Amino acid sequence: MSELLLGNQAIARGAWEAGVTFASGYPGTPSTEIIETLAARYPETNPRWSANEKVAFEEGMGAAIGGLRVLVTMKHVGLNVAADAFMVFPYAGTNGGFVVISADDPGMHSSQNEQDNRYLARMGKVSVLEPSEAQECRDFVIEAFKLSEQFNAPIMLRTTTRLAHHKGLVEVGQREEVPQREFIPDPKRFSVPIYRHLRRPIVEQTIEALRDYAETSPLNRIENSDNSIGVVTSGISYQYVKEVLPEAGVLRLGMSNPLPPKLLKDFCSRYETVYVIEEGEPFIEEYMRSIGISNLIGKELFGVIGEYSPGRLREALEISKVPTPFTEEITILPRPPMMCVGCGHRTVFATLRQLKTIVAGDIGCYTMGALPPYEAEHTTFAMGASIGTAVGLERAGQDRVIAIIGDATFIHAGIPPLIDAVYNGSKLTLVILDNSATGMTGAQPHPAAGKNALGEDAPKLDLVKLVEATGVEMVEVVDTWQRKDVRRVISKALAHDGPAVVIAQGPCQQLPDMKRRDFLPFVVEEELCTQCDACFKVWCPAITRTEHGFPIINTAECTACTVCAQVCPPEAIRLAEKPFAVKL
Amino acid sequence: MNIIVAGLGGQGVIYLTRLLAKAAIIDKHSLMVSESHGMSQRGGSVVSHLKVGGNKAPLIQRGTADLLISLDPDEAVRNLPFLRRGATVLVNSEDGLMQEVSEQITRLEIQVFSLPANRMAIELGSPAVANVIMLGLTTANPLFELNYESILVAIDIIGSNGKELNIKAFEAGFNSGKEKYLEYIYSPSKNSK
Repeated sequence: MSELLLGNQAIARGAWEAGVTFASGYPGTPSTEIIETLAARYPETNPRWSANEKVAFEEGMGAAIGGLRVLVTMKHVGLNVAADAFMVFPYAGTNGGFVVISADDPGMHSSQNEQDNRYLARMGKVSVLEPSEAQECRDFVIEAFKLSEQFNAPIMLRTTTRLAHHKGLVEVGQREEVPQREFIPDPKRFSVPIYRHLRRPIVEQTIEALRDYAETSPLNRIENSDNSIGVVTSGISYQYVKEVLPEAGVLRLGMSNPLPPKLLKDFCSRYETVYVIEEGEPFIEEYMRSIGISNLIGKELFGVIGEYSPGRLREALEISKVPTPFTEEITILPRPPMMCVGCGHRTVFATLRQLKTIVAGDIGCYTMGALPPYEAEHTTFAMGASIGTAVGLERAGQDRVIAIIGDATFIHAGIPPLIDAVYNGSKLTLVILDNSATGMTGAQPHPAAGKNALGEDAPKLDLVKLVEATGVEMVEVVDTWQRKDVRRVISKALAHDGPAVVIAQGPCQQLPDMKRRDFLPFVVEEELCTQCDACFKVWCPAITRTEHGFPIINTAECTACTVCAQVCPPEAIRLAEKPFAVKL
Repeated sequence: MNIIVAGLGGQGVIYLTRLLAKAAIIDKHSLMVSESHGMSQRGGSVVSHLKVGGNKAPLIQRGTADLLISLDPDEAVRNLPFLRRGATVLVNSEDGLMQEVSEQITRLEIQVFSLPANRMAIELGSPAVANVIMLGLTTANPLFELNYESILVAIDIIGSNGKELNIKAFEAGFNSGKEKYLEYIYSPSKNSK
């Protein structure tokens, strides 16, 4: 039987078929759909959203040494958060099969950097599988669990955005129920640093055993070996090679760490020149050069920055392009993403713009606060970094600094820096954008949302009590759609002599409950409108102008957030009298 | 057949893509689909690539698409370089594509058919079905390779709620399409629109 599956759905399917009984992760593009698919279709895998990637990894690690088959998912930078455990786990080795998904984002479609996590895997002595299509996303996950249990080794499966978010027909099978392995408590294996030296040689033995396996593994495959052009490739780049050089002799490395020296040397000896075509860093190429293979052309021709494509390979190889017949430049203004209509972040950023503060931002939809029209976010680095950055900026002499962080990101990595800010006497002003969702990745639930990954009710973290417990004296909750209140409370927090936290509350417009709720939209009554244009200054994308110069609200987009009505001097913006659209 | 589906976040590009993909599977074609996810879905440009019966590389190369379906006229223009000579553009627009591209469109024998699908959707009761109206326009095109029945089955399978409205929207698009294409086939100059 075959199904049309997204790469991420195929990974979820493979994990289910492999008998996974525990799955944890943190939302992050391009990995999010894996846990979502498990939650929607395969609840017997016990999927959960964890507080952050480190927690997800550690829960998975515990479940795996306890004998379960475990899948852990995260985006590339998520593995940085989990790196502490990731680097140490190979010293103990796993018991039940353990597979961690690292979803890398070449081209930075939804990320702050372009890191190639194969290097983290090499550093941690972890084996890496890289599928090249949706079918292999399923197949390789199943294979990864077998390898993990055969070698007692955690395995990384690396995907990239194009692979995670393309769909292909996937032959699927049935779930295999795998008996839980017995957990044998063994301090020499799982505990204290004093025993680590006993494990150190085992780490090397394991990775070398995997290297031997890689020499003959069916994951690494040679095609058309009689052709005159030779290519070594992996991951999605393999598809581009097949499109651009369909006749080339290809060594496709489905396992990119550890790499097989004999296989590589043998393959390269058949050709005068071998192209190494791998998106991202020269991970394979550097290894090949390190073992003395020199008839290579790689990064000097294809580059390290951004995504590969068939067109890019053609250009690099000077193969005649299929030229687009459109010769003249057609300029269309770029349409970057923006905050949704009715997004509760809009009022906060409008206030920050007015207050002319320095804003240390964080990771989430509110990174868009740096863009016009708000231009009220000055730094964005990493999850939870807003608070530490603000503390540092304040120490560097900036006296009007505000840290801004979403509720999910605060729970993920904002709590230790808040504790630290209070502890070390900072006058931190922090705004928590509390929209009860991990918004940017599609409104997944988190501990302060009162729901778990399966959509069941879950204990709701009390953010106010949590912040109070850190010793912050001024904690105020404000309705994020009340402009005046938002401005008043943030100004008060800035003036407060000591750390102050504002929690701007209002649910994310992407939450299903918000989308499906019944409400009346707002409309402009032209008889009352004086064309003062105050409503345009709330920058709502649903407000445009009629040919007679009046504002008009797109009632299909309106979320009834009330912000435009709040600023209208003649009160010409009113609730409509009847519902407008049939809800789908 | 290489198909590009374009639009803005929230217009239903992904849903329209899913319907096309489902129909292609029902028609037993091999298939590759590539979608925009994550940040790009917040009101920004969204584009899907569908390769029906082609290879597995995730993207359609510039200059090789046969059909561009766009839910927004500007997004249609943005994606024109994906088209081959003689390709077809189906666009949700009151008045076709912007003037600036008309010379190239004519020179490259690109056929453009537009439909005011937003207005039609509102008349049907929900602006959300403009994408399905455009699917109707697509299906009526004589060059479109997927079966009418398969598209209807796809709507039936993944129509979830609002199925009736979707069928109505599809038929509205299909019927306007039939008229448009007939007009085009019999017009002596074969000028687009």
